[in-house]
Amino acid sequence: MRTADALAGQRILIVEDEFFIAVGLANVLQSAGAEVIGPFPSVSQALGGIVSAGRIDGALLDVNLGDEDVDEVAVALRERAVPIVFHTGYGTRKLPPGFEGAEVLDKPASDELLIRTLMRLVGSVSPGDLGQSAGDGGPSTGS
Amino acid sequence: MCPAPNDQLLRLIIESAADYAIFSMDSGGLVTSWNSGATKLLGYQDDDILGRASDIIFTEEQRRTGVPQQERQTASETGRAEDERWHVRQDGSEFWASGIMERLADGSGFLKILRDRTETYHAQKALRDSEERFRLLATNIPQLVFRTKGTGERTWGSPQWEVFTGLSDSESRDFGWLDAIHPDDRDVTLEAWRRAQLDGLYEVEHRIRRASDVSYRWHQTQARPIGDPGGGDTDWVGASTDIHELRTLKDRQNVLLAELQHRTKNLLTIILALARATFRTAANPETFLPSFESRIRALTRVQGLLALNENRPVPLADLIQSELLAHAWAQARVDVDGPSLDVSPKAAQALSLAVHELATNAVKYGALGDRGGRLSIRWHVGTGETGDELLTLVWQERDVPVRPPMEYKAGFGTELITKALPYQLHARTELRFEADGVVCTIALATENAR
Repeated sequence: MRTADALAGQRILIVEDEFFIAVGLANVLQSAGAEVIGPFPSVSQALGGIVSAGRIDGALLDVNLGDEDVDEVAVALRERAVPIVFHTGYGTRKLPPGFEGAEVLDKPASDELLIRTLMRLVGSVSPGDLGQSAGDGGPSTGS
Repeated sequence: MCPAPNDQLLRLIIESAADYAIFSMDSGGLVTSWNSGATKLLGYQDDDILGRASDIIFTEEQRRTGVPQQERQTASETGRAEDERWHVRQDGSEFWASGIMERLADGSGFLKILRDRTETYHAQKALRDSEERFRLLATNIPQLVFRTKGTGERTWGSPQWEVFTGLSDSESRDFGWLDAIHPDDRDVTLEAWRRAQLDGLYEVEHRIRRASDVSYRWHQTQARPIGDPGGGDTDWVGASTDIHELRTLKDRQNVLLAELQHRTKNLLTIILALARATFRTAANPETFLPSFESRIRALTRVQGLLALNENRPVPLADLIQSELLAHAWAQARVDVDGPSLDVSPKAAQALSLAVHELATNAVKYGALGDRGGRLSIRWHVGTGETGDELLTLVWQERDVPVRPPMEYKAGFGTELITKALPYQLHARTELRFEADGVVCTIALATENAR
Protein backbone atom coordinates (compact mmCIF):
# COMPACT_ATOMS: atom_id res chain seq x y z
CA MET A 1 0.00 0.00 0.00
CA ARG A 2 1.39 3.37 -1.01
CA THR A 3 1.52 6.12 1.57
CA ALA A 4 -0.52 8.43 -0.66
CA ASP A 5 -3.62 6.28 -0.32
CA ALA A 6 -3.04 4.79 3.13
CA LEU A 7 -6.07 6.68 4.43
CA ALA A 8 -7.79 7.17 1.11
CA GLY A 9 -11.35 8.42 1.51
CA GLN A 10 -11.23 8.33 5.30
CA ARG A 11 -12.79 11.33 7.00
CA ILE A 12 -10.65 12.21 10.02
CA LEU A 13 -11.53 14.90 12.55
CA ILE A 14 -8.64 16.80 14.16
CA VAL A 15 -8.75 18.75 17.44
CA GLU A 16 -5.54 20.62 18.29
CA ASP A 17 -5.24 24.09 19.79
CA GLU A 18 -1.80 24.97 18.38
CA PHE A 19 -2.25 26.28 14.84
CA PHE A 20 1.02 25.07 13.32
CA ILE A 21 0.72 21.63 14.92
CA ALA A 22 -2.85 21.42 13.64
CA VAL A 23 -1.82 22.45 10.14
CA GLY A 24 1.07 19.97 10.21
CA LEU A 25 -1.24 17.10 11.25
CA ALA A 26 -3.79 18.09 8.62
CA ASN A 27 -1.13 18.13 5.90
CA VAL A 28 0.16 14.70 6.90
CA LEU A 29 -3.32 13.15 6.86
CA GLN A 30 -4.22 14.83 3.57
CA SER A 31 -1.01 13.57 1.99
CA ALA A 32 -2.09 10.06 3.04
CA GLY A 33 -5.36 10.56 1.19
CA ALA A 34 -7.59 11.46 4.11
CA GLU A 35 -10.26 14.15 4.16
CA VAL A 36 -9.66 16.35 7.18
CA ILE A 37 -12.56 17.62 9.28
CA GLY A 38 -11.33 20.69 11.12
CA PRO A 39 -8.84 21.15 12.58
CA PHE A 40 -10.62 22.66 15.57
CA PRO A 41 -8.86 24.56 18.38
CA SER A 42 -11.58 24.33 21.04
CA VAL A 43 -14.27 22.06 22.48
CA SER A 44 -17.16 24.24 21.28
CA GLN A 45 -15.83 24.44 17.73
CA ALA A 46 -15.13 20.71 17.66
CA LEU A 47 -18.65 19.87 18.91
CA GLY A 48 -20.07 22.12 16.20
CA GLY A 49 -17.86 20.38 13.66
CA ILE A 50 -19.08 16.94 14.73
CA VAL A 51 -22.70 17.98 14.25
CA SER A 52 -22.18 19.37 10.76
CA ALA A 53 -19.53 16.94 9.55
CA GLY A 54 -21.67 14.08 8.34
CA ARG A 55 -19.67 10.84 8.33
CA ILE A 56 -16.60 10.72 10.58
CA ASP A 57 -14.31 7.67 10.26
CA GLY A 58 -11.82 8.56 12.94
CA ALA A 59 -10.58 11.33 15.22
CA LEU A 60 -7.21 12.63 16.32
CA LEU A 61 -7.58 14.54 19.59
CA ASP A 62 -5.16 16.69 21.56
CA VAL A 63 -6.04 16.17 25.24
CA ASN A 64 -5.24 19.59 26.68
CA LEU A 65 -6.61 22.57 24.77
CA GLY A 66 -5.07 25.40 26.75
CA ASP A 67 -7.65 26.23 29.40
CA GLU A 68 -9.97 23.29 28.71
CA ASP A 69 -9.75 19.52 28.18
CA VAL A 70 -11.04 17.61 25.19
CA ASP A 71 -13.27 15.30 27.32
CA GLU A 72 -16.66 16.41 25.97
CA VAL A 73 -15.50 15.95 22.38
CA ALA A 74 -14.33 12.42 23.14
CA VAL A 75 -17.69 11.56 24.68
CA ALA A 76 -19.60 12.97 21.69
CA LEU A 77 -17.44 10.94 19.30
CA ARG A 78 -17.89 7.75 21.29
CA GLU A 79 -21.65 8.18 21.10
CA ARG A 80 -21.19 8.05 17.32
CA ALA A 81 -18.83 5.07 17.62
CA VAL A 82 -16.01 7.06 16.06
CA PRO A 83 -12.57 5.51 16.77
CA ILE A 84 -10.32 7.96 18.64
CA VAL A 85 -6.55 8.44 18.85
CA PHE A 86 -5.35 10.79 21.56
CA HIS A 87 -2.30 12.87 20.69
CA THR A 88 -0.79 14.08 23.96
CA GLY A 89 2.36 14.94 25.88
CA TYR A 90 0.77 13.61 29.06
CA GLY A 91 1.03 9.95 28.07
CA THR A 92 -1.87 7.88 29.35
CA ARG A 93 -2.22 9.80 32.61
CA LYS A 94 -4.61 12.57 31.64
CA LEU A 95 -6.97 10.83 29.27
CA PRO A 96 -10.63 11.78 29.68
CA PRO A 97 -12.44 9.70 32.33
CA GLY A 98 -13.73 6.48 30.78
CA PHE A 99 -11.09 6.50 28.02
CA GLU A 100 -8.27 5.00 30.08
CA GLY A 101 -7.59 2.15 27.68
CA ALA A 102 -7.80 4.32 24.58
CA GLU A 103 -5.26 4.58 21.78
CA VAL A 104 -2.56 7.14 22.61
CA LEU A 105 0.13 8.71 20.48
CA ASP A 106 2.87 10.36 22.48
CA LYS A 107 3.63 13.89 21.30
CA PRO A 108 5.44 14.50 19.06
CA ALA A 109 4.51 11.46 16.98
CA SER A 110 6.17 10.75 13.65
CA ASP A 111 4.10 11.02 10.47
CA GLU A 112 4.51 7.33 9.84
CA LEU A 113 3.31 6.26 13.28
CA LEU A 114 0.44 8.71 13.02
CA ILE A 115 -0.74 7.26 9.71
CA ARG A 116 -0.27 3.65 10.77
CA THR A 117 -2.13 4.14 14.00
CA LEU A 118 -5.05 5.77 12.20
CA MET A 119 -5.02 3.05 9.55
CA ARG A 120 -5.23 0.37 12.17
CA LEU A 121 -8.04 2.19 13.93
CA VAL A 122 -10.25 3.23 11.03
CA GLY A 123 -9.39 -0.03 9.27
CA SER A 124 -11.13 -1.90 12.06
CA VAL A 125 -14.38 -0.26 10.95
CA SER A 126 -14.32 -2.05 7.60
CA PRO A 127 -13.21 -5.65 8.14
CA GLY A 128 -12.09 -6.00 4.52
CA ASP A 129 -9.16 -3.63 5.05
CA LEU A 130 -8.18 -5.01 8.39
CA GLY A 131 -5.80 -7.77 7.35
CA GLN A 132 -3.96 -5.60 4.90
CA SER A 133 -3.75 -2.65 7.27
CA ALA A 134 -2.65 -4.66 10.25
CA GLY A 135 0.02 -6.45 8.25
CA ASP A 136 1.27 -3.23 6.75
CA GLY A 137 1.16 -1.29 9.97
CA GLY A 138 2.55 -3.89 12.38
CA PRO A 139 5.50 -3.01 14.58
CA SER A 140 7.78 -5.53 12.83
CA THR A 141 7.83 -3.39 9.70
CA GLY A 142 10.23 -0.97 11.33
CA SER A 143 10.74 2.64 10.34
CA MET B 1 3.76 -27.64 121.38
CA CYS B 2 7.38 -26.64 121.34
CA PRO B 3 8.90 -25.94 124.71
CA ALA B 4 9.79 -22.27 125.17
CA PRO B 5 13.48 -21.78 124.31
CA ASN B 6 15.62 -20.68 127.19
CA ASP B 7 17.06 -17.18 127.29
CA GLN B 8 20.49 -18.38 126.24
CA LEU B 9 19.22 -19.98 123.03
CA LEU B 10 17.07 -16.96 122.18
CA ARG B 11 20.04 -14.62 122.62
CA LEU B 12 22.11 -16.88 120.37
CA ILE B 13 19.51 -16.81 117.63
CA ILE B 14 19.17 -13.06 117.79
CA GLU B 15 22.94 -12.51 117.80
CA SER B 16 23.37 -14.81 114.80
CA ALA B 17 20.94 -12.84 112.68
CA ALA B 18 23.78 -10.48 111.75
CA ASP B 19 22.02 -9.01 108.70
CA TYR B 20 19.07 -7.86 110.80
CA ALA B 21 19.15 -5.10 113.34
CA ILE B 22 17.04 -6.46 116.19
CA PHE B 23 16.49 -4.39 119.28
CA SER B 24 13.87 -3.76 121.90
CA MET B 25 12.69 -0.69 123.69
CA ASP B 26 10.41 0.14 126.58
CA SER B 27 7.05 1.72 126.01
CA GLY B 28 8.68 5.18 126.06
CA GLY B 29 11.13 4.21 123.30
CA LEU B 30 14.29 3.77 125.43
CA VAL B 31 16.49 0.96 124.08
CA THR B 32 16.49 -2.13 126.30
CA SER B 33 18.42 -4.61 124.11
CA TRP B 34 20.63 -4.29 120.99
CA ASN B 35 21.95 -7.19 118.89
CA SER B 36 25.20 -7.32 116.89
CA GLY B 37 23.23 -6.89 113.66
CA ALA B 38 22.00 -3.56 115.03
CA THR B 39 25.58 -2.52 115.79
CA LYS B 40 26.64 -3.56 112.31
CA LEU B 41 23.85 -1.65 110.62
CA LEU B 42 23.55 1.41 112.82
CA GLY B 43 27.06 1.73 114.28
CA TYR B 44 26.11 2.09 117.94
CA GLN B 45 27.73 -0.28 120.48
CA ASP B 46 25.56 -1.59 123.34
CA ASP B 47 27.07 0.96 125.69
CA ASP B 48 26.30 3.84 123.34
CA ILE B 49 22.67 3.06 123.00
CA LEU B 50 21.24 0.99 125.88
CA GLY B 51 18.96 3.15 127.98
CA ARG B 52 18.91 5.91 125.38
CA ALA B 53 16.04 7.00 123.17
CA SER B 54 15.76 4.83 120.06
CA ASP B 55 14.45 7.90 118.26
CA ILE B 56 18.01 8.85 117.30
CA ILE B 57 17.96 6.33 114.46
CA PHE B 58 15.29 8.48 112.79
CA THR B 59 16.16 11.49 110.67
CA GLU B 60 15.80 14.90 112.20
CA GLU B 61 12.81 15.58 109.98
CA GLN B 62 11.07 12.37 111.07
CA ARG B 63 11.72 13.17 114.72
CA ARG B 64 10.42 16.69 114.31
CA THR B 65 7.18 15.43 112.77
CA GLY B 66 6.68 12.78 115.41
CA VAL B 67 7.21 9.70 113.27
CA PRO B 68 8.83 7.59 116.06
CA GLN B 69 5.90 8.23 118.44
CA GLN B 70 3.37 7.47 115.73
CA GLU B 71 5.09 4.18 114.97
CA ARG B 72 4.98 3.13 118.62
CA GLN B 73 1.38 4.22 118.84
CA THR B 74 0.40 2.13 115.80
CA ALA B 75 2.26 -0.88 117.18
CA SER B 76 0.70 -0.34 120.55
CA GLU B 77 -2.80 -0.16 119.09
CA THR B 78 -2.61 -2.82 116.38
CA GLY B 79 0.26 -4.94 117.67
CA ARG B 80 2.45 -4.17 114.70
CA ALA B 81 3.81 -1.28 112.57
CA GLU B 82 5.54 -1.75 109.26
CA ASP B 83 7.31 0.73 107.07
CA GLU B 84 10.06 1.49 104.58
CA ARG B 85 11.97 4.66 105.20
CA TRP B 86 15.30 6.36 105.66
CA HIS B 87 17.18 5.84 108.95
CA VAL B 88 20.33 7.42 110.34
CA ARG B 89 23.50 5.69 111.52
CA GLN B 90 25.66 6.84 114.40
CA ASP B 91 28.05 8.49 111.93
CA GLY B 92 25.14 10.48 110.47
CA SER B 93 24.97 8.52 107.18
CA GLU B 94 21.54 7.44 106.00
CA PHE B 95 20.25 4.10 104.74
CA TRP B 96 16.94 2.85 103.38
CA ALA B 97 15.42 0.22 105.63
CA SER B 98 12.37 -1.91 105.77
CA GLY B 99 11.27 -2.28 109.35
CA ILE B 100 8.77 -4.05 111.54
CA MET B 101 7.84 -3.00 115.04
CA GLU B 102 6.04 -5.56 117.22
CA ARG B 103 4.38 -4.89 120.54
CA LEU B 104 5.93 -7.15 123.21
CA ALA B 105 3.48 -9.70 124.50
CA ASP B 106 3.56 -8.38 128.07
CA GLY B 107 3.00 -4.79 126.93
CA SER B 108 6.29 -3.67 128.44
CA GLY B 109 7.61 -2.26 125.21
CA PHE B 110 8.40 -3.06 121.56
CA LEU B 111 10.65 -5.18 119.43
CA LYS B 112 12.02 -3.63 116.25
CA ILE B 113 13.62 -5.44 113.33
CA LEU B 114 15.33 -3.47 110.53
CA ARG B 115 16.88 -4.60 107.33
CA ASP B 116 19.11 -2.54 105.04
CA ARG B 117 17.32 -2.22 101.67
CA THR B 118 19.37 0.67 100.27
CA GLU B 119 20.60 -1.26 97.23
CA THR B 120 17.17 -2.60 96.39
CA TYR B 121 15.81 0.89 96.92
CA HIS B 122 18.26 2.36 94.41
CA ALA B 123 17.64 -0.43 91.90
CA GLN B 124 13.88 0.03 92.16
CA LYS B 125 14.21 3.78 91.94
CA ALA B 126 16.37 3.43 88.81
CA LEU B 127 13.69 1.21 87.30
CA ARG B 128 10.92 3.61 88.29
CA ASP B 129 12.89 6.55 86.88
CA SER B 130 13.50 4.68 83.67
CA GLU B 131 9.84 3.78 83.34
CA GLU B 132 8.91 7.35 84.08
CA ARG B 133 11.33 8.59 81.44
CA PHE B 134 9.82 6.17 78.90
CA ARG B 135 6.34 7.27 79.87
CA LEU B 136 7.29 10.95 79.57
CA LEU B 137 8.95 10.32 76.22
CA ALA B 138 6.16 8.15 74.87
CA THR B 139 3.45 10.54 75.99
CA ASN B 140 5.11 13.84 75.10
CA ILE B 141 6.79 13.33 71.73
CA PRO B 142 4.66 14.23 68.71
CA GLN B 143 4.84 10.62 67.48
CA LEU B 144 2.06 8.14 68.13
CA VAL B 145 3.77 5.45 70.19
CA PHE B 146 2.47 1.94 70.64
CA ARG B 147 3.39 -1.50 71.89
CA THR B 148 2.42 -4.52 69.92
CA LYS B 149 2.98 -8.21 69.35
CA GLY B 150 5.26 -9.12 66.48
CA THR B 151 2.21 -10.07 64.45
CA GLY B 152 0.59 -6.65 64.68
CA GLU B 153 -1.86 -7.10 67.57
CA ARG B 154 -1.61 -3.94 69.60
CA THR B 155 -1.19 -4.13 73.35
CA TRP B 156 -0.87 -0.44 74.23
CA GLY B 157 -1.23 2.93 72.53
CA SER B 158 0.08 6.25 73.81
CA PRO B 159 -2.40 8.98 74.77
CA GLN B 160 -1.41 10.86 71.58
CA TRP B 161 -2.73 7.93 69.55
CA GLU B 162 -6.04 8.11 71.38
CA VAL B 163 -6.27 11.88 70.94
CA PHE B 164 -5.21 11.79 67.27
CA THR B 165 -7.43 8.92 66.13
CA GLY B 166 -10.23 9.23 68.65
CA LEU B 167 -9.91 5.49 69.27
CA SER B 168 -9.62 4.53 72.94
CA ASP B 169 -6.87 2.23 74.12
CA SER B 170 -9.29 -0.68 74.37
CA GLU B 171 -10.79 0.02 70.93
CA SER B 172 -7.30 0.01 69.45
CA ARG B 173 -6.22 -3.29 70.96
CA ASP B 174 -5.51 -6.34 68.82
CA PHE B 175 -6.31 -5.11 65.29
CA GLY B 176 -8.80 -2.44 66.38
CA TRP B 177 -6.23 0.24 65.42
CA LEU B 178 -6.67 -0.75 61.77
CA ASP B 179 -9.94 1.19 61.83
CA ALA B 180 -7.95 4.46 61.84
CA ILE B 181 -5.91 3.43 58.78
CA HIS B 182 -7.18 4.61 55.38
CA PRO B 183 -9.12 1.72 53.77
CA ASP B 184 -6.89 1.91 50.68
CA ASP B 185 -3.77 1.52 52.84
CA ARG B 186 -4.90 -1.42 54.99
CA ASP B 187 -3.53 -4.05 52.62
CA VAL B 188 -0.02 -2.56 52.55
CA THR B 189 -0.21 -2.11 56.31
CA LEU B 190 -1.01 -5.78 56.94
CA GLU B 191 1.52 -6.82 54.31
CA ALA B 192 4.15 -4.83 56.24
CA TRP B 193 3.35 -6.91 59.35
CA ARG B 194 3.80 -10.12 57.36
CA ARG B 195 7.17 -8.85 56.14
CA ALA B 196 8.06 -7.79 59.67
CA GLN B 197 8.02 -11.46 60.77
CA LEU B 198 10.96 -12.08 58.44
CA ASP B 199 12.81 -8.77 58.63
CA GLY B 200 12.45 -8.08 62.35
CA LEU B 201 11.42 -4.56 61.32
CA TYR B 202 7.98 -3.15 60.62
CA GLU B 203 7.99 -0.21 58.26
CA VAL B 204 5.13 1.30 56.27
CA GLU B 205 3.81 4.61 54.96
CA HIS B 206 0.07 4.92 55.37
CA ARG B 207 -2.69 7.43 56.03
CA ILE B 208 -4.04 7.66 59.58
CA ARG B 209 -7.38 9.29 60.27
CA ARG B 210 -7.25 12.41 62.40
CA ALA B 211 -10.34 12.60 64.56
CA SER B 212 -10.31 16.40 64.99
CA ASP B 213 -11.15 17.11 61.33
CA VAL B 214 -11.76 13.55 60.03
CA SER B 215 -8.93 13.95 57.54
CA TYR B 216 -6.35 11.32 56.67
CA ARG B 217 -2.73 12.31 57.13
CA TRP B 218 0.28 10.42 55.83
CA HIS B 219 2.41 8.80 58.51
CA GLN B 220 5.52 6.73 58.47
CA THR B 221 5.20 3.94 61.00
CA GLN B 222 8.07 1.81 62.26
CA ALA B 223 8.24 -0.83 64.93
CA ARG B 224 11.02 -3.04 66.24
CA PRO B 225 11.13 -5.91 68.73
CA ILE B 226 12.39 -5.08 72.21
CA GLY B 227 15.34 -7.29 73.06
CA ASP B 228 15.56 -10.74 71.54
CA PRO B 229 13.49 -10.90 68.37
CA GLY B 230 13.64 -14.70 68.41
CA GLY B 231 10.89 -15.30 70.91
CA GLY B 232 7.41 -15.67 69.46
CA ASP B 233 5.73 -13.44 72.01
CA THR B 234 8.39 -10.74 72.02
CA ASP B 235 7.06 -7.27 72.69
CA TRP B 236 7.49 -4.74 69.89
CA VAL B 237 7.51 -0.99 70.26
CA GLY B 238 6.67 1.36 67.43
CA ALA B 239 5.89 4.93 66.50
CA SER B 240 3.99 6.73 63.75
CA THR B 241 5.47 10.00 62.51
CA ASP B 242 3.40 12.55 60.58
CA ILE B 243 5.04 12.95 57.17
CA HIS B 244 2.01 14.53 55.51
CA GLU B 245 3.72 17.78 54.46
CA LEU B 246 6.72 15.89 53.17
CA ARG B 247 4.61 13.39 51.34
CA THR B 248 2.37 16.12 49.89
CA LEU B 249 5.45 17.97 48.66
CA LYS B 250 6.73 14.78 47.09
CA ASP B 251 3.38 14.20 45.36
CA ARG B 252 3.39 17.80 44.21
CA GLN B 253 6.89 17.36 42.88
CA ASN B 254 5.75 14.34 40.90
CA VAL B 255 2.88 16.35 39.46
CA LEU B 256 5.24 19.19 38.56
CA LEU B 257 7.67 16.76 37.00
CA ALA B 258 4.90 15.26 34.86
CA GLU B 259 3.74 18.77 33.95
CA LEU B 260 7.29 19.69 32.99
CA GLN B 261 7.54 16.61 30.84
CA HIS B 262 4.24 17.48 29.19
CA ARG B 263 5.33 21.02 28.47
CA THR B 264 8.65 19.86 27.09
CA LYS B 265 6.94 17.45 24.73
CA ASN B 266 4.44 20.11 23.76
CA LEU B 267 7.20 22.61 23.09
CA LEU B 268 9.12 20.09 21.01
CA THR B 269 5.96 19.40 19.05
CA ILE B 270 5.53 23.13 18.44
CA ILE B 271 9.17 23.43 17.36
CA LEU B 272 8.73 20.57 14.90
CA ALA B 273 5.56 22.18 13.60
CA LEU B 274 7.35 25.53 13.25
CA ALA B 275 10.16 23.78 11.36
CA ARG B 276 7.63 22.30 9.01
CA ALA B 277 5.78 25.59 8.50
CA THR B 278 9.07 27.45 8.02
CA PHE B 279 10.16 24.90 5.45
CA ARG B 280 6.82 25.11 3.68
CA THR B 281 6.90 28.93 3.50
CA ALA B 282 10.64 29.41 2.89
CA ALA B 283 11.37 31.33 -0.32
CA ASN B 284 14.34 29.06 -0.98
CA PRO B 285 16.31 26.37 0.91
CA GLU B 286 19.03 28.86 1.98
CA THR B 287 16.61 30.95 3.99
CA PHE B 288 15.23 27.99 5.93
CA LEU B 289 17.90 27.69 8.59
CA PRO B 290 18.28 31.39 9.53
CA SER B 291 14.49 31.84 9.59
CA PHE B 292 13.94 28.71 11.66
CA GLU B 293 16.69 29.65 14.12
CA SER B 294 15.37 33.14 14.64
CA ARG B 295 11.86 31.76 15.31
CA ILE B 296 13.24 29.29 17.85
CA ARG B 297 15.07 32.17 19.54
CA ALA B 298 11.81 34.14 19.73
CA LEU B 299 10.13 31.08 21.22
CA THR B 300 13.00 30.78 23.70
CA ARG B 301 12.65 34.44 24.70
CA VAL B 302 8.94 34.17 25.43
CA GLN B 303 9.50 30.90 27.31
CA GLY B 304 12.13 32.71 29.38
CA LEU B 305 9.72 35.56 30.06
CA LEU B 306 7.05 33.06 31.11
CA ALA B 307 9.49 31.18 33.35
CA LEU B 308 10.46 34.49 34.95
CA ASN B 309 6.78 35.07 35.72
CA GLU B 310 6.36 31.48 36.95
CA ASN B 311 4.12 30.72 34.00
CA ARG B 312 1.56 33.31 35.05
CA PRO B 313 0.38 36.10 32.78
CA VAL B 314 3.15 38.46 31.63
CA PRO B 315 2.97 42.20 30.94
CA LEU B 316 2.29 42.87 27.24
CA ALA B 317 4.83 45.74 27.29
CA ASP B 318 7.61 43.40 28.50
CA LEU B 319 6.81 40.97 25.76
CA ILE B 320 7.02 43.65 23.05
CA GLN B 321 10.20 45.21 24.49
CA SER B 322 11.84 41.80 24.61
CA GLU B 323 11.22 41.25 20.89
CA LEU B 324 12.28 44.77 19.91
CA LEU B 325 15.48 44.47 21.94
CA ALA B 326 16.30 41.24 20.16
CA HIS B 327 16.17 43.15 16.88
CA ALA B 328 18.53 45.90 17.99
CA TRP B 329 15.84 48.46 17.34
CA ALA B 330 16.59 52.12 16.75
CA GLN B 331 14.85 53.62 19.75
CA ALA B 332 14.47 57.08 18.24
CA ARG B 333 12.30 55.68 15.44
CA VAL B 334 10.04 53.53 17.60
CA ASP B 335 7.16 54.65 19.76
CA VAL B 336 5.65 52.07 22.11
CA ASP B 337 2.60 52.99 24.15
CA GLY B 338 -0.31 51.28 25.85
CA PRO B 339 -1.92 50.61 29.22
CA SER B 340 -0.51 48.08 31.63
CA LEU B 341 -1.97 44.69 30.69
CA ASP B 342 -1.00 41.09 31.44
CA VAL B 343 -1.49 38.37 28.85
CA SER B 344 -1.86 34.63 29.45
CA PRO B 345 1.01 32.24 28.62
CA LYS B 346 -0.91 30.90 25.63
CA ALA B 347 -1.60 34.38 24.23
CA ALA B 348 1.92 35.52 25.10
CA GLN B 349 3.51 32.81 22.99
CA ALA B 350 1.39 33.54 19.92
CA LEU B 351 1.68 37.34 20.25
CA SER B 352 5.45 37.13 20.76
CA LEU B 353 5.87 35.14 17.58
CA ALA B 354 3.67 37.65 15.74
CA VAL B 355 5.68 40.63 17.01
CA HIS B 356 8.82 38.71 16.13
CA GLU B 357 7.70 38.24 12.52
CA LEU B 358 6.68 41.89 12.20
CA ALA B 359 9.99 43.07 13.67
CA THR B 360 12.07 40.72 11.53
CA ASN B 361 10.35 41.93 8.41
CA ALA B 362 10.60 45.57 9.55
CA VAL B 363 14.38 45.11 9.87
CA LYS B 364 14.59 43.49 6.42
CA TYR B 365 12.18 45.64 4.47
CA GLY B 366 10.56 48.27 6.68
CA ALA B 367 10.78 50.87 9.41
CA LEU B 368 13.56 49.17 11.37
CA GLY B 369 15.82 48.81 8.33
CA ASP B 370 18.54 51.01 6.86
CA ARG B 371 16.26 52.91 4.50
CA GLY B 372 14.52 54.89 7.18
CA GLY B 373 10.98 55.02 8.51
CA ARG B 374 9.15 55.18 11.83
CA LEU B 375 7.29 52.57 13.83
CA SER B 376 4.56 52.97 16.39
CA ILE B 377 3.19 50.12 18.47
CA ARG B 378 0.10 51.08 20.41
CA TRP B 379 -2.57 49.15 22.18
CA HIS B 380 -5.71 49.97 24.07
CA VAL B 381 -8.60 48.16 25.73
CA GLY B 382 -12.11 49.03 24.61
CA THR B 383 -15.52 47.49 24.09
CA GLY B 384 -16.08 45.34 21.04
CA GLU B 385 -19.19 45.13 18.83
CA THR B 386 -20.58 42.23 20.89
CA GLY B 387 -20.02 44.13 24.12
CA ASP B 388 -17.00 42.16 25.35
CA GLU B 389 -13.74 43.78 26.37
CA LEU B 390 -11.40 43.98 23.42
CA LEU B 391 -7.62 44.43 23.32
CA THR B 392 -6.55 46.13 20.10
CA LEU B 393 -2.88 46.30 19.17
CA VAL B 394 -1.81 48.35 16.17
CA TRP B 395 1.63 48.02 14.58
CA GLN B 396 2.08 50.88 12.19
CA GLU B 397 5.11 51.58 10.03
CA ARG B 398 5.38 54.99 8.32
CA ASP B 399 7.71 56.80 5.95
CA VAL B 400 9.13 53.55 4.63
CA PRO B 401 10.40 54.38 1.13
CA VAL B 402 10.40 50.88 -0.33
CA ARG B 403 7.48 48.41 -0.59
CA PRO B 404 8.08 44.91 0.77
CA PRO B 405 8.55 42.05 -1.72
CA MET B 406 6.01 39.36 -2.49
CA GLU B 407 7.79 36.80 -0.25
CA TYR B 408 6.80 38.85 2.80
CA LYS B 409 3.17 38.90 1.78
CA ALA B 410 3.00 35.13 1.25
CA GLY B 411 5.38 34.22 4.03
CA PHE B 412 5.26 32.60 7.43
CA GLY B 413 4.62 35.88 9.27
CA THR B 414 1.52 36.56 7.21
CA GLU B 415 0.18 33.07 7.88
CA LEU B 416 0.91 33.45 11.57
CA ILE B 417 -0.91 36.78 11.82
CA THR B 418 -3.83 36.13 9.50
CA LYS B 419 -4.44 32.46 10.32
CA ALA B 420 -2.72 31.26 13.53
CA LEU B 421 -3.86 34.14 15.74
CA PRO B 422 -7.52 33.84 14.67
CA TYR B 423 -7.29 30.05 15.13
CA GLN B 424 -5.60 30.01 18.54
CA LEU B 425 -6.82 33.20 20.18
CA HIS B 426 -10.03 33.92 18.27
CA ALA B 427 -8.34 37.16 17.28
CA ARG B 428 -9.45 39.35 14.41
CA THR B 429 -6.36 40.42 12.52
CA GLU B 430 -5.52 42.54 9.55
CA LEU B 431 -2.20 42.93 7.75
CA ARG B 432 -2.08 45.75 5.21
CA PHE B 433 0.78 46.76 3.00
CA GLU B 434 0.26 50.52 2.69
CA ALA B 435 2.23 52.84 0.42
CA ASP B 436 4.55 54.03 3.22
CA GLY B 437 4.69 50.87 5.35
CA VAL B 438 3.03 47.87 6.95
CA VAL B 439 0.01 48.25 9.20
CA CYS B 440 -1.01 45.29 11.35
CA THR B 441 -4.05 45.30 13.63
CA ILE B 442 -4.66 42.54 16.14
CA ALA B 443 -7.92 42.61 18.10
CA LEU B 444 -8.79 39.95 20.64
CA ALA B 445 -11.20 39.58 23.49
CA THR B 446 -9.29 40.18 26.71
CA GLU B 447 -10.79 36.97 28.12
CA ASN B 448 -8.80 35.13 25.44
CA ALA B 449 -5.68 37.18 26.16
CA ARG B 450 -5.66 36.89 29.92
